[in-house]
Amino acid sequence: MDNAIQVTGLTKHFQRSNIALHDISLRVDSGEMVSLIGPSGSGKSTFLRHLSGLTLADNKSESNITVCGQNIQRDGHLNKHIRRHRSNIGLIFQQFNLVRRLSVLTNVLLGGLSHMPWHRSCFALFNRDEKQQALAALERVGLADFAWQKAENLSGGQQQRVAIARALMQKASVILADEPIASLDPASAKQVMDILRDINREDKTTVIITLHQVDYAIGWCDRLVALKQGKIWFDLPVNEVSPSKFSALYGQSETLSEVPSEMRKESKPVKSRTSPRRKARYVA
Amino acid sequence: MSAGYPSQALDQVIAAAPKRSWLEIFLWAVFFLVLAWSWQGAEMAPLTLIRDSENMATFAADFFPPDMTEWRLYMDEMVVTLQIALWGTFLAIIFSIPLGLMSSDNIAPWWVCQPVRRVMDSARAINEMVFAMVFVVAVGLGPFAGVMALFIHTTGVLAKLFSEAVEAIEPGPVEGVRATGANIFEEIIYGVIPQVIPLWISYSLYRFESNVRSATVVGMVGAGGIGVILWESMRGFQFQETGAVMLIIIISVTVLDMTSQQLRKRFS
Repeated sequence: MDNAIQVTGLTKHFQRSNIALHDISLRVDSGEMVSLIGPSGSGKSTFLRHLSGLTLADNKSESNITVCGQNIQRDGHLNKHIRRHRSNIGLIFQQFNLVRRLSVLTNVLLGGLSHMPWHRSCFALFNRDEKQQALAALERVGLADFAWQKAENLSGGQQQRVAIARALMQKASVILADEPIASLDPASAKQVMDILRDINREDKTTVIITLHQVDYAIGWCDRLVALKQGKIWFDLPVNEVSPSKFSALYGQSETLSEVPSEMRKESKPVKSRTSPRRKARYVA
Repeated sequence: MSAGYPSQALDQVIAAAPKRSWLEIFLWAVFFLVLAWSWQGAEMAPLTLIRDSENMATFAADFFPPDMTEWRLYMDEMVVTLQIALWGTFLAIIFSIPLGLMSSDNIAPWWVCQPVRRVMDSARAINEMVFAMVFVVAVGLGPFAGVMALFIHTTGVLAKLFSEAVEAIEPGPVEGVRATGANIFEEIIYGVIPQVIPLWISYSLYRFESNVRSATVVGMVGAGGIGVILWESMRGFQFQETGAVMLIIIISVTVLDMTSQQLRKRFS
């Protein structure tokens, strides 16, 4: 099997926070559904952002990140063609990151921007074929009826499904989901996980999800990679992880025994802390 | 009811209120000193208002009744005034979009942002009337000088207001657009503009309102519009005509302000 993601020697330090990554190497095969778990501040979201080149590794490190055979960053420097390579990577955010004032359909159409010539993309001239594809993507997440609504009028769960439709529109071969269900109610969370699982099974899309809740990771993913204090704590197929592994990962307070196995899919997700608002620099 | 709290305890909490600091008292003192000092510089003489009130009443009476015989001419010039304001504002909006984006520190690198900001500062610092005098020399008497004066000054103002809106956007949606592989222009068009457009429209309408007011005076230095007539009738001591012109200005500006305010409410 070809590898979808190859990370070697990823090291990252932040000046003003204690989140950091220490010499992480990870390989994910094409078609896998992997969950990154770990306590808050373990670096799982930071790790995911590196895969899309939204965050850069320390520039003195000897790191290398490759997604689907295309280099994303090496030694803390972005690849020259990062924008083209990003189109192959669908990214799902905890806060959805839709453009709230645009319609649901337009938000999905944004997924196809990188396949459009600039003279159409700059004037929002989407053609019939693109609109049909976007509508099909919406149909797949069950939101075709909402196409002309403004994104801001949808519920959190619906917005996250629109974000997934946008990734589908990208025809991405890898989907990275950063805490996709942390702001959602249990029913919506389950729905979102089901859709991601379906995309993984049907389209053979590689899916990597950071999750706050171990029960969702076990219920929907094949392989769990646990991070703690910026290091890989364990990396196991889902059927080989044991409760003792989790108690070691999270400390005594949060063990698996709190979650009855048959209730896992219905259990209440813990609301995670939203990441602090950063003043992002828009020139990548 | 104090719900079981002994009043003594409540007094203690009240007594613990933060004390007014010496710095605060000092700053107030400075403020009043500056006011007193400026009274001198501005040669404030409120008593003359009372002493010369008779003169002023006589002068004011000269404006009445307004002489409306030339109303058709005044209306024509008022329309020209609005046309000056419209083009001055329109050109300013067109130029402020790129210039505003270029002076936003979350979009442009510092070596673009800082120089553009300084140029915009100077466009804003100099009053429309001064620009009008400059352009009367450059392009000759007439409304076009007025348009140019309003355009340059308003670009300075709008570019600043536009960039402040851009700097206050949520970064999330822009990152969402970027993650699809979009380029910088697509990020701006789809991630930034939709977030700022309501504010931009509101600011532009507000500037149009104030440009209509400014356009009524640029004529005084020969830059076209109703200001020309206003100035000529005043210099010719035709105060009843002046009164008529002022009346027309008041009515038109009021109507426009109210319309534009209604429009702005829809966007904010």
